[in-house]
Amino acid sequence: MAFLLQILVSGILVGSIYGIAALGFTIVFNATRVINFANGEFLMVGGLATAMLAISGVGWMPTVVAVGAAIVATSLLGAAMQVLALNYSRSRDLHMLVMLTIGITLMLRGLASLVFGRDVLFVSDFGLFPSLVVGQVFIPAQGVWIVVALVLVSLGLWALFKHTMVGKAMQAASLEPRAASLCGIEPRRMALLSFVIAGAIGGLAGALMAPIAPPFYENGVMLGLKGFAAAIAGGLGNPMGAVIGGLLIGLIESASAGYGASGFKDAISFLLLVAILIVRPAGLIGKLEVKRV
Amino acid sequence: MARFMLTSQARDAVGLLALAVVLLVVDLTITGHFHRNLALQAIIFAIAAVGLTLLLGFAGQVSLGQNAFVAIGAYALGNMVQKVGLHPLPALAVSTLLPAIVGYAVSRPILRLSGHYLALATLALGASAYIFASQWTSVTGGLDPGIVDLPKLALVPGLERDQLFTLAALCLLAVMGFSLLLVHSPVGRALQAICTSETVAAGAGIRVDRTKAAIFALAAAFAGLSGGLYALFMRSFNATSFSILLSIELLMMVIVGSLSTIWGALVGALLVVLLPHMLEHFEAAKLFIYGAIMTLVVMFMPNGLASTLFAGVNRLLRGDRAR
Repeated sequence: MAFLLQILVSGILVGSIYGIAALGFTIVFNATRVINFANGEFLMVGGLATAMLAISGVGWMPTVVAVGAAIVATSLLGAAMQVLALNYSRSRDLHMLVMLTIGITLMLRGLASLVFGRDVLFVSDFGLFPSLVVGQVFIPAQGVWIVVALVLVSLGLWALFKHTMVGKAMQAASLEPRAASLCGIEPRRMALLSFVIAGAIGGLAGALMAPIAPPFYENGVMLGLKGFAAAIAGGLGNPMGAVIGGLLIGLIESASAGYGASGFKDAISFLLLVAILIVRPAGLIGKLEVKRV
Repeated sequence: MARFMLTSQARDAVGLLALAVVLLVVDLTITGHFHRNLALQAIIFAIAAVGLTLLLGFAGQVSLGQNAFVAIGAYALGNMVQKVGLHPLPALAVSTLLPAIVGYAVSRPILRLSGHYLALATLALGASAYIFASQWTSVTGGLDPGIVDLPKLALVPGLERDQLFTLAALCLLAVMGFSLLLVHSPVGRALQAICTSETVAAGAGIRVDRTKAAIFALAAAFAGLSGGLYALFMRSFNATSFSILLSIELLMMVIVGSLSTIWGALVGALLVVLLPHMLEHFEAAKLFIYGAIMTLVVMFMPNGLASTLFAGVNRLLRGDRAR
């Protein structure tokens, strides 16, 4: 029983990270219909920046400052992506824009290896919460931070899209850019906003996971894949779906690792995901879009 | 102007001939190991990229999992040669056929998905393939050692010169020829109809599911052939060669080359293989510059480098400058 609980706990932890990563995809998708493959790089940069600043940081509350700086950096990165690259793309075709984000992914990896070096960096726990042992189940302190962040960020996004004009304007801008601009919504500004928020969320997630998964410039690809998978599994565009998708993938992974197939855990979660998609082609809680020809 | 108006079939035939001549000249004149290997790599990747061009550019079905089929091809060759003791040529046939069969079997359920969902499903395929390549050690040798010490290809015994280049060049010509024929055939037009709208294609009497599955299997077969040749080229390799990054590189070749013509795959493969070597002097910044060039090409030449080049050449031939 303790073993099962431990698997659940670590599954929720890992799943929360995937969930936060998936939220970045969701928000950019909602505002632009673009799948931003560079989203995983936001986490990578966030983690590395935190590590870099926390190691060399001096004075009061270095961790808080480091995390804040990392979030600012990734937000700027997101803004730069939209303003410098996607805005200037000759093709407005969605597929090409997605390809563009893949190109940017490669570029960011290169940039990170230049700025932060090619070493794995280490960060100590954020502290504040103690590590708990309940019964025989170990709950790491950093895990509390991650779960709290996931809850806050996803509630925030849910409120943004459901209850604020800005959130609705973002969705309108992506669904029908022309009609939206007739209503006084500037689609480009909405796209910029979404990239900044996605960058900030990515930076936060990267910083939070840095103590348990040491940041490295090549980490972005796998985080991107997992986040994308989580966003799709839950039903693309739905923040709650992204969180559920992330938790699901985390739980599957930790269960398959716990019950003797640790080498294959990624394969198992991916293949199960495909099975889910084949049965429910629009994700777990998504609705199929009907397209007129 | 009229002198240069060839039908697209005739133009492709001339192009194929020119390609054969270029490959022959390269084979005969370039003797240095380094440059020969680069050219060979470009040829090997081009074969897989041609398949992906058919799938993505013509049928409009994205695949981020081509690395799976390259891996199956490479490991099939390794195992056939080392464990079964097959001659490399029939082994190469196995590395083409096996991925085709796997591709067909996988494609039936997967191709029910479309757009981003298809991208994810193929991505899952590619990511899982890498995991199997690194974990299923009895077949693949895993990460260390992998498959080691395949024999050097010697089709004509006693002949000193490197024969793999010739074999790969012939494979590329065959793949190109077949693909060009396919594009100009009713199947090619059916693919483009599917790309535009599956509903309309079905309405016009095209068997959408079957055609899509067939082209997926064909792209898998080309990727497998490419993998088999890769195995013969490397002779020792491990799972790291087949990570999802390989799929992304193949995708880059197609995008940077061209989505609308098979020839783009050649340009793309050449660029993706050569670029990292041209950037050798930049050491630390290599990865960044590589990414930046890819990004700029996608930004400013959305039709691909090849299409932009061809259009430029056409304009020059016709003598009317871009106004």
